Amino acid sequence: MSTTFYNPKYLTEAFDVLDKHSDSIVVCGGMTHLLRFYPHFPEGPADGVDGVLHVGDLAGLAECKEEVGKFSLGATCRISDLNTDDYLIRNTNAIWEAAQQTSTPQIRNRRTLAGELAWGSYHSPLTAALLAYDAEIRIRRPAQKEVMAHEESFDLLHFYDEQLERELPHGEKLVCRKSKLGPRDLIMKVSVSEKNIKQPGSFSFCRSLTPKISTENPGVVVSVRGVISSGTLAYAKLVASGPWMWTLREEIPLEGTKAKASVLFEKLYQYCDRYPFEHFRRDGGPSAGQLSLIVFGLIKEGLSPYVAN
Amino acid sequence: MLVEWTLNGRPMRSEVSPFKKLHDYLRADLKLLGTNIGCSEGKCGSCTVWVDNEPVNSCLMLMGQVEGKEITTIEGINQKEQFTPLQENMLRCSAMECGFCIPGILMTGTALLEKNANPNRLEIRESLKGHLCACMGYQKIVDAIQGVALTPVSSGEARVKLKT
Repeated sequence: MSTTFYNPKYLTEAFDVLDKHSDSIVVCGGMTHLLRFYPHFPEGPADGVDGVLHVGDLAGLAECKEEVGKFSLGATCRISDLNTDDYLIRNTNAIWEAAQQTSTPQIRNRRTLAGELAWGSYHSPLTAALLAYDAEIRIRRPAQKEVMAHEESFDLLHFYDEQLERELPHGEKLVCRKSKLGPRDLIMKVSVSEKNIKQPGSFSFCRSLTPKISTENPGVVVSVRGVISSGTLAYAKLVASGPWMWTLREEIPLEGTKAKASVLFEKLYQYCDRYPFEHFRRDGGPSAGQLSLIVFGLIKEGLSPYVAN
Repeated sequence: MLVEWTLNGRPMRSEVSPFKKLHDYLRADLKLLGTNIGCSEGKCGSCTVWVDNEPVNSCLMLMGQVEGKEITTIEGINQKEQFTPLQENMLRCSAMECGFCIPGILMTGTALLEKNANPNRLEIRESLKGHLCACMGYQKIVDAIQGVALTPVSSGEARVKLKT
């Protein structure tokens, strides 16, 4: 059976295709993941694909804009758009830095935000940064028998539920986060609450460690969002993940610690050193002790500009 | 599928499979051989073309996605049959070894210089992140791109923009 390529220009046309088509349709935007890992797409990702819905050029799905109490990133905005968005540059340093660290400039010009999230790489800087901001994802579920099409929003962390092993064409296995996307679901947007962005004294950063010459696979990604108020650390949330570990999202329990390098980094070191990294999935890679040092090093590097000597 | 697009400034109507990769169509059907095929998985950058004036890997793009887009290949950046300043500088700096990666690098380098007429070395290196040169000629390539933006440094003189 031949595969149909749908290239709608308007959202309503895309909804129509999703509502009327069978589950054997693949939704894609930039296709940089699919064509990279499955060179013979559409035969690659799964057998029996009978439709490909390209949503990359849909009007209205690629906007980054301020809404009431939140900032929304459209599902099909390119990673390079996040890199040049004034609001993100001014207010959400971690997201901007993460966009800059994602893959190569050529791929950033094609890859969409939704594609990056749906693929679910453990080493995606953008996912880590959005998780640090407690971002919310909005998904459209298609119409089914006796069920109207509807949209749902939930915490980005709850968008992923378990682990997914992708078998690549050359026999390798790639471990990713498994998302809760159904076959005809469509990611609409990701939004970040303004109270997480515009708090006085707030800071954020994203750092990644690349273990070998690779533009696509940083070993460990760390993103932190916090608030420094009156010379003390009022709040900090850490997200760390990588191909050797699950996603960790926790508050760093150092509230009230002086934002002074000698004091803060000593306590931070102790926190990372005691963190039970041995509980994380281990398929090779660094030991638990080494992981804690890597995470500490990345947080320290990112925090340094915000901390007095 | 009938795809309407623009190639090097010319409107095109192509009857083609939407699943054909852009670089295959450019090379095999249109015989535009300047766009090289290296890894075919977005790592080497030798197939870089401009899509709406942004450099992208043509190996990671299907013809179905090209609908309504403006594509520029290496053949399209010097339509007056003369070298661009960057091409001249590549020659002057001996930045080409085997030359396989150069068309892609020229596309990225030209796009960078159009956006930022005076990039520093770090910005140039960051823009070349998606290119692999198997001859390891990166240093001279960076020199060549920087050379378009800057006159040679003479002692005690500030660098002056050659091109505005």
